[in-house]
Amino acid sequence: MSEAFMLAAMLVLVSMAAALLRAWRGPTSVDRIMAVQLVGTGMVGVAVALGAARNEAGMLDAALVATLLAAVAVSAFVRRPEGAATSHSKPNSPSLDR
Amino acid sequence: MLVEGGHVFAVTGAVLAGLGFYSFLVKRHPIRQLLAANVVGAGVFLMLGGLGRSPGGADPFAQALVITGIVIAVALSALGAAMVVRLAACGDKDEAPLGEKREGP
Amino acid sequence: MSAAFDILLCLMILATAGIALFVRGAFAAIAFFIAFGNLLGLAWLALGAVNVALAEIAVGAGVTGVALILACSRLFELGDNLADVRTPLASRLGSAALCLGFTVMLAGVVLTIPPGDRLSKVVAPLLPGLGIENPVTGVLLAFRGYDTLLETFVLLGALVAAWSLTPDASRRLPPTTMVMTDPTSRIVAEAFTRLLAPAALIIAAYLVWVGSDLPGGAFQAGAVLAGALVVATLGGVVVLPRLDSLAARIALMVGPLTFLAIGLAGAALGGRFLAYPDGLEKTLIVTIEYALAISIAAGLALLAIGPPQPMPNNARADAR
Repeated sequence: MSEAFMLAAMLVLVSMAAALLRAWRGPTSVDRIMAVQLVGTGMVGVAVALGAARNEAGMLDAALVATLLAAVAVSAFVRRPEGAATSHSKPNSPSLDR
Repeated sequence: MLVEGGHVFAVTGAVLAGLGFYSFLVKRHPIRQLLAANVVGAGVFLMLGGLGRSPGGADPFAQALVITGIVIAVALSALGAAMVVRLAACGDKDEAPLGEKREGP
Repeated sequence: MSAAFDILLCLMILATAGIALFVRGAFAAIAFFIAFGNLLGLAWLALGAVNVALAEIAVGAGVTGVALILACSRLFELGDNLADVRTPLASRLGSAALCLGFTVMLAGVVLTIPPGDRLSKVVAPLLPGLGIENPVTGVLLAFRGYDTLLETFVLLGALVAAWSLTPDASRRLPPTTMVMTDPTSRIVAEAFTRLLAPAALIIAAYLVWVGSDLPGGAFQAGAVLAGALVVATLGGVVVLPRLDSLAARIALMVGPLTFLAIGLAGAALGGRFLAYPDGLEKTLIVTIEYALAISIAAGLALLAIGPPQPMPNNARADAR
């Protein structure tokens, strides 16, 4: 059974690699940050599968913490820089696009 | 031997430290250098963790050392980021943008 | 299967780090750095170091990423285009040779050391005397108490150093500039805070409590709370304290001072500095950890957000 969970963990890891590919291709920073979110989701999956494979409950706590904090960095990203509301940047296009 | 013992992670850590140092030397923008310093730190942590691995679990001393190290590293990154921003805020009056300063004409 | 997993994970870690370090765009670098932190968290899980994985995941997701993204957008706002300057070929080649040699030497040395868990045997017989079962917590708060005490002061020192970078003009102003500027985003962040904050509080309290016997502890809990505090600040639910706010200073100092006071009391009661009296070890350790979690949360959140920024001219008029 533990082997099956390890296989599941590896499959999720491979899907994380696909998300990383999207983060690399971009082209906008929104694509990148969403791909990083997907990597974070994959991390939760791998943590749960590893915890099941090794029968260690602490790994579920790690998955819980990862779920809880997954959106914090995105929140910081969504916030536009100081003064951006009144200056040059257009709505819906974060000024970090490059 | 190589795989079971955690050498995989320790060698990964060594390569990370090397990559980080190279990036630190080659990249000129301070934010990129901050990332590089963090990667070197992560490499060192992985070496400690990998060498402390055993079938039964991980070395508690290495774990405690790495947890302390992670907190210090995050304090370093946040302070470094604040310094880079302040430098940019001061420097734009009479200097070229950050990262181009040391480049000469 | 486990070995294949380890190797795949390590390859992904190396690839992510390589892209984060050498990609052209600075923002892409930061995005990959966050993904790198996630993968490192998994590496710690794979190594069986769940205590470290918790700290890495919580700190990487909640604090480092936020600090870097905010720094990036502030730099952009200041007109720094974060452009990448190419170093001359000769110095690149020289650095590459140097770093390659360094890596080969380091890897060679690492391979000569047989991995093993030698200190567990030293720690395990000492733990029953403390009444706790998580060896990492035992090491952090009892056997290496000095280091942990000093570490909390390092965190405090970093915050003071970051605050000292505040420009004179914004020193007296309340740093309200962290709230989302876009009204819709602000509503979303506010609603998200109302979901996140209670859950984060419970998980933080749980992590400290469970940390005496299972993976967890004050740093992990503090980092979780710091992440929640950052979101609460973005949503305007928590207003950032002024630099001279007494409440903020109490929150920052309560942990280190409790630790120091208990350490000194240990010395006064006939033991040594940071020695716990017999029978009270677990009570004192958990007390210290709860106090530390509060200070670490406040310190990490304020560090992630950074010192108050000089406001743009139009906003400064509103603030006065």
